[in-house]
Amino acid sequence: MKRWFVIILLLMGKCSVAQDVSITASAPGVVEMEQRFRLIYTVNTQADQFLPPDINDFSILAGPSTSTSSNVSIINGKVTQSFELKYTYIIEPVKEGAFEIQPAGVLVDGKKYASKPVKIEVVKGAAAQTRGGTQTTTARQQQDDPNRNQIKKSDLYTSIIVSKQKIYREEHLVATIKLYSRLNVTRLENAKLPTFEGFLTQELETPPLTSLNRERIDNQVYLTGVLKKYILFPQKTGTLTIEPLELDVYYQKPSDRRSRSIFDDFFGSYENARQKVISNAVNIEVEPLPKNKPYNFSGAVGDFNLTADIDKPEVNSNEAVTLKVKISGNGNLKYINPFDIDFPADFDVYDPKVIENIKHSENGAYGHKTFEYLMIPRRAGQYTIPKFSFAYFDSESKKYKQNTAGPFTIQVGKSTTDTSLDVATTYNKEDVQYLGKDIRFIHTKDTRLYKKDTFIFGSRWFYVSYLGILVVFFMVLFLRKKRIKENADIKRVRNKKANKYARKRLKHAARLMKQNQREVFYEELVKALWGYISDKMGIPVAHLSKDSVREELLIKHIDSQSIDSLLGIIDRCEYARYAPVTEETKMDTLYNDAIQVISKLQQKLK
Amino acid sequence: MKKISAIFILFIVTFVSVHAENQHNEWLDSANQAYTNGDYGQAINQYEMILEQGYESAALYYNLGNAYYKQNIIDQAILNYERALLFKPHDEDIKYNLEMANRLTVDRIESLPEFFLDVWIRNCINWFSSNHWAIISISTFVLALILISIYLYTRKYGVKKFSFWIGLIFILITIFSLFFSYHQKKKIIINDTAIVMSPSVTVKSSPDVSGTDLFVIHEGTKVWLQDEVGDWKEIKLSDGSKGWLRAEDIEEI
Repeated sequence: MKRWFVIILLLMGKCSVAQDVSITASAPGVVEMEQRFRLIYTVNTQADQFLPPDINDFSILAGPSTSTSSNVSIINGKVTQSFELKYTYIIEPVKEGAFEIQPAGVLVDGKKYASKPVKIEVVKGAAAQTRGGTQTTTARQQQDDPNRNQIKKSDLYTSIIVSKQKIYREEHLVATIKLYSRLNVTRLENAKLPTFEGFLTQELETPPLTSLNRERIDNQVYLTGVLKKYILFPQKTGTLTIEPLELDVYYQKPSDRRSRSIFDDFFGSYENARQKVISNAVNIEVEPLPKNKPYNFSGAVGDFNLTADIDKPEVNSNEAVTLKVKISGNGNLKYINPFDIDFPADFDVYDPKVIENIKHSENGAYGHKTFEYLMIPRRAGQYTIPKFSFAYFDSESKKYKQNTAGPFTIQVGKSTTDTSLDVATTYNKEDVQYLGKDIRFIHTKDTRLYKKDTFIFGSRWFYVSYLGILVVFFMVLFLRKKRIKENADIKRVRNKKANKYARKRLKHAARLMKQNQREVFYEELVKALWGYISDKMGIPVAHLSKDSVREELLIKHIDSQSIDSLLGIIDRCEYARYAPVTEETKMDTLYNDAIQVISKLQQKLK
Repeated sequence: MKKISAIFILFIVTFVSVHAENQHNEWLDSANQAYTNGDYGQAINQYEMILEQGYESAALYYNLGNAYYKQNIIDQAILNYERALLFKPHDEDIKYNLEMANRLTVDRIESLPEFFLDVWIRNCINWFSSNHWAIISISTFVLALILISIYLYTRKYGVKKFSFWIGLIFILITIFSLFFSYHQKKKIIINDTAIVMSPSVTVKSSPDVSGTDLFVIHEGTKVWLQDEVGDWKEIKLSDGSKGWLRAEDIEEI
C-alpha cells in the first residue's frame, strides 16, 4: 500500500513538473493609510525555494506564511488535478503615494520563475472600509465611519460620464451612469433614467451589480458600480442636454440604538436607510457635419468598408442573380439605407433583403450590414451594373470619404422559355383581337426577281426611252409639216392641169358618144365637170355640193350666168341619165355646152 | 404612234428578260416548298442564298420575313418585311404581317401626329414602287405627246380643247411620277431607317460610352437615322425622342 502511494506521489510530482509554472501576485490596487492588507503570491506547483520580494515602502506585519491546497477531481474517469501554493504577507502602508513592489520569485527544479511587479497606491483617506481589509476595526475608524453619521453628499452620489462632449451629428458617444459610494449599499430602487432627448440610444450590456469596485477619487476610496451604459447617436445639432438620473439608494448604517444583546455588540447592529440621489446633467455640444457633402452622402458617420459581389456572372434570362453589398465597420450602421444602384433598365430588381449584424460596445456600433438585391434579367444581352459608391463621414479624420464597388458585368443568355414568355407578356399590352391569328402565307405567284439596286429611274433605258419618245414626236411633227407643204404643191399642179384633165375626160366622153353609150357618157361628163371644179378650187370632190360650188365661184368673181350654165349642164346630165332624151339633153348639145362652159371658166379662173 | 408603243414594249420585254433568270427562280421555288413543308430554317438559308447572289424582290423579302417570323426571330422578320414594303409599299399582306411582327416587339412607342397633307402625299408616293412610277411617267409622257399632236392637227374645236387639257394633265402626271420614282429609289438606296437588332440597347445622350443613359429600346424597334459619328449613329424614334447608339446594334433597312 505504501509503495502504491509513493508511486502515485511520484507520478503527481512528474505531472506537476510537466505543467507550466506560474506565479501570480494579488493585492488591492488602492489602499488607505493605516489599512492592513494581504499580498499573496500563488504558485501552481511545488516550489523548491521562495525568493521573497523587497518590500521597502510598506511595513510587514506578518509573513510570508505558506499554505497549500491540492485538488484532484475525477469526472467520467478523467482525472484533473490542481495544486496551489500560497505565500501570504500582511502588510501596512507607511506613507502616501504610488508604490511598486518588486517581483517575487520561486525556484522550481533549479529554474527561476518571477511574478509581475505589484502596483499599490496609498491614499490618505479618512478611514478605510473594513471590507477587504482586516476584520478588526479600530475605535477611531468606527468613529469616522460615515455609515454611522449623517451622510454627506460626497459619500453617495451618481454621475453621468460621457466619452465626448463635443461631437458631430450621428457620431457616437458613450454615456456611463455610475454610482459612487462610501456606504454599504444594499439596494437600488425607483431608478428614473434619463430620456436622452435628441439621441438615438442603444443600451450596452453591463455586468450585474453584485460587487462594487474600489476606486480612488480625491484621495478617498470609493466603491463604484456601473449602473447603466448607453451608446448615443445625436440626431440634432446644437446643445443637447442629458437629464439627470434619479435613484433611491438603500444602505445599511450602524444602529444608534443601544443593543441589549451581546451578539449585537459582537456583530454590530445595523439598520436600513434610504437616500434619494440625483445625478448631474450633462450638456453635449453637437456640431453639424461639414458642408461639402458628397452627392451620395446619406448620413453614414464612422469608418466603413464596402464590398460587393454577384453570385453568378452568367445567367439565362428570367433567372435570378443576387448582388450582395456589404458595409462593414464602425458607426451608425443601423441607419444606413439601401443606396441607389443604376441597375440596367431591363432588370427586374426587388427591394433588397437587409441582414444586420451589429454589436454595440464602448467603441461604438460595429459589425456589418448586408443588402441583397435580387435581380431578374428579362432579356438576353450583356449588361453592366455600373460602379457605385458609398459616402460616409470619417469622424476620426473629420473628412468625407468614398468607398466604391463594381462595376459588374452580367452575361445574360437567351433562355429556352424566353420567347414564349415574351409573346405572352407583350400581348398583354396590345389589343387582344389579334390573339391566335397567324401571319399570312408567303407569296408564290409573283416570282420575278430583280438584280439588286436596279431601277428603271436613272437607268440607261430610262433616258433612252424618254429621248426616243421625244425624237419620234418631233419626227412626226416634221413629217406632218413636210406633207402639208407637199399638199399645197399638189393643189397648184392640179389647178394647172385641171383643163387638161377635163379635156381628157371630154375626149373620152366624145368617144362614148360615138359609140352611143349614153349612160356612161353622161356620167363621164358630170365627172369631168366636177373634177374640173374640184381641181380648180382645191376642194376634194366629196366635199363639193352645188351650193358650195356656187358660193366658192361667186367668191372668185365668176358671173352668175356661167355658174348657172355650169350647174345647168350638171343637172341636165343627171336628168338625162334617167329620163328620155330631149333636145336639151342630147349628147352632142351637152358636150358642146360643157366645152363652152369649161373654156369660159378656164379664161376667168387663172 | 405604233413605233412608240413598239419601242416601249421592247423596252419592258428586255428589262424583264435580262433580270429574270431561271436558276434563281428554281431556288425560290424550292425555298417556298421548304417553307410550305414547315422547314423554315432551310427556307431561310435558300432565301438568303438568293439575296447573296444579288437578286431581290418584294416577294423574296416578304417570304424571308415570314420564315424568320415562324422561327421566332422577330427582329429579322421585321427587317425583311420593311424591305419588302420598300418594293411594294401598298401590299396588304406585307403590311399585315409587319403589323403582326410589330406586336411581338417589346417597345410600344406612340407615334407623333403628322400633318394630314404629309400623310396624304406619302400614301400617294407609296402607291407604287420606283419602277412602277418610272413606267407610269414614260407612259403618260407618251400619251401627253399624242394628245399634243392631236391638239396641233385637229380642226375640230371640241377635240382640240379636250386634247389640250387632258394632255396638260398627263404632263403633270409625268412630272410628278418622275419625282415619285426618284423618291422611291432614293428611299431604297439611301437607308434612313433601321431596325434594332440587339435584344436591348441603351440609347445615350452623346456618341460616347460615358454619355447619359436616355432610354432603352429593344430588338425589332424601327428607328430613323439622323446623323453619324464614327461607329455611333444618332437615331430618332417615332415618338420624336433622339439619342445615340452603336451602329452594330441596328441594321439598315
